[in-house]
Formats: sequence, C-alpha cells, structure tokens
Amino acid sequence: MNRRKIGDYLGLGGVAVILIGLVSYSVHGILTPAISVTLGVGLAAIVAYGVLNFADIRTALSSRSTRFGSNAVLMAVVVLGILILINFVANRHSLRADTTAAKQFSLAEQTRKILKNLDRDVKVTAFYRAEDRWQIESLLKEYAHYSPRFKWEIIDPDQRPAEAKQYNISAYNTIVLECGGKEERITTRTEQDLTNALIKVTRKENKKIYFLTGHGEKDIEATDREGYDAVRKLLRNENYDVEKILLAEKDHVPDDCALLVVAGPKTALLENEASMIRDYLKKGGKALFLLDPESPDEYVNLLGEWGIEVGKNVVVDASGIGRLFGAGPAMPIATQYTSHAITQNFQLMTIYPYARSVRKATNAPVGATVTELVKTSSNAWGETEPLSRGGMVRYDEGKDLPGPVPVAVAYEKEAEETTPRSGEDELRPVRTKTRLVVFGDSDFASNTYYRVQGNGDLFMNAVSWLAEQEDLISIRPKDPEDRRVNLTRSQSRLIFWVTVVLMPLAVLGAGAGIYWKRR
Amino acid sequence: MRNFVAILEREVRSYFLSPLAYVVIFFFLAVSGIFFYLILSNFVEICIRATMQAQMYQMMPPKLNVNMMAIRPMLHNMALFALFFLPLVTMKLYAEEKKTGTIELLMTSPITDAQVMLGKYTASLVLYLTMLALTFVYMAFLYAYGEPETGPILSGYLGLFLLGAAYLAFGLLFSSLTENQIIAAASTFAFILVFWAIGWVSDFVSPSVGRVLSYFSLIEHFEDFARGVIDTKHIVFYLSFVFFGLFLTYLSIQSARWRGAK
Repeated sequence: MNRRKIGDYLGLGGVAVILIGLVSYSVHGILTPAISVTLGVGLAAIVAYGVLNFADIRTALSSRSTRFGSNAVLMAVVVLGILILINFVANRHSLRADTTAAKQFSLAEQTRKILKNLDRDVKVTAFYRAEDRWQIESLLKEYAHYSPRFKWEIIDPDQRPAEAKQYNISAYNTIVLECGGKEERITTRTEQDLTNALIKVTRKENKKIYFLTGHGEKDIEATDREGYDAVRKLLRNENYDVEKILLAEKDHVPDDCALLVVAGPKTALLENEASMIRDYLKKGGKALFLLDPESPDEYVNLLGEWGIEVGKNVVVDASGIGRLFGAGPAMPIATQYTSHAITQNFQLMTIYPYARSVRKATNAPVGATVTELVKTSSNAWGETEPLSRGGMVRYDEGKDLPGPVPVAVAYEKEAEETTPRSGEDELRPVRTKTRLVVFGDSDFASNTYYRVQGNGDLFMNAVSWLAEQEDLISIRPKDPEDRRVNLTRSQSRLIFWVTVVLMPLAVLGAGAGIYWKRR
Repeated sequence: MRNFVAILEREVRSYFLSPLAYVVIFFFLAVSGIFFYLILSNFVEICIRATMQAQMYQMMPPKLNVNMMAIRPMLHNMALFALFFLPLVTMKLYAEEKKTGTIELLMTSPITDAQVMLGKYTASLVLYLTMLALTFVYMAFLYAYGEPETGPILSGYLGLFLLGAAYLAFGLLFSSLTENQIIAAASTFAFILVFWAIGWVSDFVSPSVGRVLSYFSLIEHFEDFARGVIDTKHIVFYLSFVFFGLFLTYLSIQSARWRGAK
C-alpha cells in the first residue's frame, strides 16, 4: 500500500460517502447532524486524496487533452448559460398567435387591458386535483402571459392538505385570488368569472355600503335573532366596507356610497331624507329596500314613484311546504325565480318570515326595466286583513292578491344625470344606471334566517348586482366551431385500406425494389 | 456551402439506399395509420351519437370540432411515435463511420467538421420531413370528408417539426460519442424520454422548481402548437435545444480529433 493507493481509495470512498449523505438528505428532507457529519467526512476524504496525490493531479491537469476537455466543458457551460438567458427573455416577451377559427385560446380585450394595467402582484392559487389540472392550467398560463404580476399556482388539496387547510378549502376546483391583503374566491373556471374576481381583488379601495339608521331599522351590529350582524360579516368577507348612516343630520347621500340599504324601517322617513334618497338615485345611485308589512307608508309612496308597488298586505302561504322547515302559513316559501342577473343559476328555496307583496306597478317610468324577481307558489296570497292571533285567514276573491305573489322586484334605468366620479382610475366607469331592489321582507336576511336554504345567497346576489354590476364585464365563452366529419361505411373502409394497409405496404415495396436493384 | 450540399446528398443517398429508412418509415406509418383510423372512427361515432341524442331530447347539438377532438390527439400520438423512431434515424450517422473507419477520411478531407455535422443533421431532417409529409394523406382525407381548420393543422405540424428537430440534434450527439449504433439509439431514447417526462415531477417538488423543470420538458412546449397557438417562446425553446445539441456534437467531434492527435 503506497501513499498513492491510499489516496485513490480515500478519493473514491469520499465520493461514495458524499453520495450517501446527499441521498439520505433528499430522503429525510432536513439536514440532521448525522448527515452533516457524513458529508463532512466525505469532504475530508476527498481533500486528503488531493493532498496525497497532488503530483498526479497536476500532471493530469496540465496535459493537452485535459486542457481541451476542461475548455470544452467551460464552453458548453457558457453556451448553456447564454441559451438560458435567451429563453428567459423570450419567455418574458413572447408573441402569441391563435390560429383557431373561434379564437378559443385568446383572452378577451377587456381581460388583456386589465392584466396590462396590473400595478400590484396578484397571487392566484387554484385548488385542483392533479388529474383535473389541465382544465385550468392553460387559462392561468394565458393570463400570466399578459402580465408578470399575475402569479399562479395549482395545488392538489389531497396531496398538500396543509395549504388547503390554510385557505379553508372545502370544495375542489376553488380558485383563490389574493392581492394586498384582500381575497376573492371563485368556484368556476370561466374567463368572465376569473377576470371579474381579478377586478374586485385589485380594487384600490373597498366599496362602501351604508345602512340607513334612525327609523328602527335592523341593526348591523346586533347579534340577537333580529339583528343583521351576520349580514355585516358576509359583506365584510366580500370586501365591502359597511357603515351606518344617519341621513337626517347630513345634506346629501355621501359620494362614496356604492349602495344604500334600508332594512326594515319601523318609523316614517322624514321629507328631507326622502328627497336626498331621490337625488342620490337620480344620479345613478343604488338602493336596496327591505320593507316589512309594518313599515310605514312613506316608503311605499317613495317606491311608487319608481314604478314599484309595495302591497299593503301580508303574504300567507297555504301550500304547507313551509312545515318542513317548521314554518307556519305566514312564512311564504319561494321557489320561482324570474331570469335575471341576480337569480342566474339560482335554484335554492328562499323563505320570507312575515312578508308583504312587491309588484311591478302598471305605471312604471319610461325606459325602466322592472323585474319581479321572486314569486311564491300559487297556493299563497296577499292577505289584506290584519292577521289576528289564532284567527283564521282565508283568501277573499277581489280583496286579496292572488298567488303566485311576487315578493321582490329589481329596477334598472339609465341615470337622469351622471356625475363623473373623482379619484377613480379610468378603468372604472362612472355611475350611469339607477338600480333598486325591493324585498317585501327584512327578516329573511336576519341572523336567524340568513342561513336557511338560499336566503343569504339571494341577499348577496342582490347586493353584488347593485354594487358591482357596472364595474364587472361579461365575456362570452368561446366554444370551438362546430366542424364535424360524417363518413359513410364505404368511405370509412377506403380510409382504412389506404392509411392502415396501402401506405405502409407501399413504403415496404419501395424499399424492397431498391434492394433488388442494388443486388 | 458546396461541401455541405455534397455531404447532405451523400447522407440522404445512403439513407434511401439502405433498408433502414424504409423500415423506420414503414413502422412509423403503420402505427400512425392505425391510430389515425381509430381516432377518426371514434370521432365519427361521437358525432353520430351526439346528433341522435340532440334529436331525441330536442336540444341543441353540442359543438364538435374535428381539430380539437381528432387532429389534436393525433398530433400528440405522432409526437410520441417520433420519440420511438427518430433515435433509429440518427444512430448510424457518426457511429457507422467510426466503426468502418471512414470517419478518418472525412476528418482529413478539406471539408470542415461543421459542414459534415450540418450535412448529416440536415439529412436526418429530410428523412423526418418525408415521414411527416406522408401523414398529410390523413389530413387530405379529413379535408375530403369534412372541413377542418387549416391554421391549427399547420401550427401542429410546425410543432412536430421543431420537436423532432430537437430529438434529432441530440440523436446526432449520442451517435458521435460511440461507434455502436445500438448504444447510440438506446442512449438517445433514454435521454429524450427523461426530457419528455421531466415535467411530470412538478407535482412533487416546490412550485418554483416545478416550473423550471417543466420548462425543460420537451412535450410541455408542444401543447400550444397542438392546440393551434403559435408562441415565439416555444419556437425559441426548441431552437435552443437544437443549437445546444449540435454545439455539444461539435465539441465531441473536436475532442475526438484531440484524442486522436495525442
């Protein structure tokens, strides 16, 4: 055993020990002391080899072929580096052309504009199972193509439950968008929904919703049965700022009011309050009225001006479906929804404890669209006589309102005067439409009832239509064009013979021909 | 240029005068033909069933697009068949010359190493283009019996060409490293397979690493072409891959020169 041999063994052993160390490191995932020691020993052995065989290494290094070899390696590394750099730049600035006839893989103009104007990072996390990854990946890539600020990741909630827990993911295919501490979630994967979520999450300031106070309205801070605390929380989660407002001590509705909510008032509206609300609505304001049977007539008269007829009655439901939820006849159930942005794809039942009818009036203003959103079953009617305790109610032809009774109405009309809003970026349009939604009940969204069936969802849909619709965009989904192939039996046979049999055989024949000729 | 053309001619001639090219094209066409026939029959079946269902339930028939549902899977299959057959195309280019000793003649001739290399590489591209051109017959059938969109077909074939060019560049490299054609083909195949599948591990590593790895995946960049989207970044990627393969080949030939002249 001379010095050299020992050195060789040491060198080989050192490499082997380092390999073992690296493998166990990758298996464990953390650097345990044992692994550090292993790596250290390996390194020491290699150093020892270098010291013991210094002469050999020097001659090897100075030989011509080694010099060429190391030169070649160096050149290869440099070229690889340059190529990676080129690819990096090409990846950042690439041109795309969609050659499909239906432009299936191109984003809409609005989406591209929004992406180009992104001035803050948006983190998009899609929780999709690995096998469903393809459904969303190309769309996210397409978005990222237009903005380096659009950062995306797809996580399989089954493989990485920790992240799914952090985000409280309860359903597959949830997409979470985060930007500057705000968060938006969608469970669909259309370009329209993703872009709208992007608009909402990148908004500089939250939209403000004011709840009118001073008339015994539902209190957004009350946690009792009747309170609206739950609604406030729902709205907070959707990134709205919710505040109370006492109009009586102001001279106009604040400019930053995205939506004014009047929820279950019990005393009359003052004349100056009414005129402020009128002014606000004329300028393209949005309001949500939730009126109970006991709400005073001032509200009814005010809404009458907008072509909405709030009935002086109590809706009684004799269908008996309510029994399933422990509801009596004064709790009408609604399952019929007119098609409208608010009720799109809405199929749940909604329940209105103690409600009055809300109808489209015969004298609706010109140019207004009034939609009766929600109707009870035909077994209900609007009872005009006051309900007495334990008394019997029955439908009186001619006096009472026959079912199905509408209990909610949506109103939309071009604003009479538009005021451009200051401090808004150009992407956001001015308020151009007056919008109203009127429910004949305020209890359906209270702490007790908002969780029942679709109540909370319907309330939130109404709010988002009122407060958001003008900012949001609609994008038609792009389906591929319909291009089919129909084959008769004989055509199909022809294709079979040509492609499967003739073509390969022809190639073989040509090959054989050449072979014979050459022989 | 003249030297390059001379080499190109010599290599193409040797391809088409040996049984190898015919065997490779035969198998490629046999497999592609069977798959084309099955995919198309399946698509026609789906069309018929959709029409019948739409009539039965009185609804709008769904949109069925031959490009998305027949041509796109066909292109993906052809990319896979290329992976199997192209190593056989490049395996002999240098290995055979080394074995028979003709490489010495080339090295001592006035033709430069780069001209030889590019000539050989272009010859392999010619053979590959011949394979692709024969599959236009399938598309001709689709045009005869339907109305496919031309754009996505062209972009798909562009993708196939670039993908194959990347395979061939590294096939040439492995052929230059050995004088055994089987070893050349096997190592080419293994190498391409690794770079084909490298994107699949992205689910198991951290997202940033996964994104880098899947960038190196050969098939990842093909997806857009198959859908009908032409993106310059994918073209740059494939061309870089080709360039690096050829550059390494050049280095390996040069080093053989050095080793020969010790």
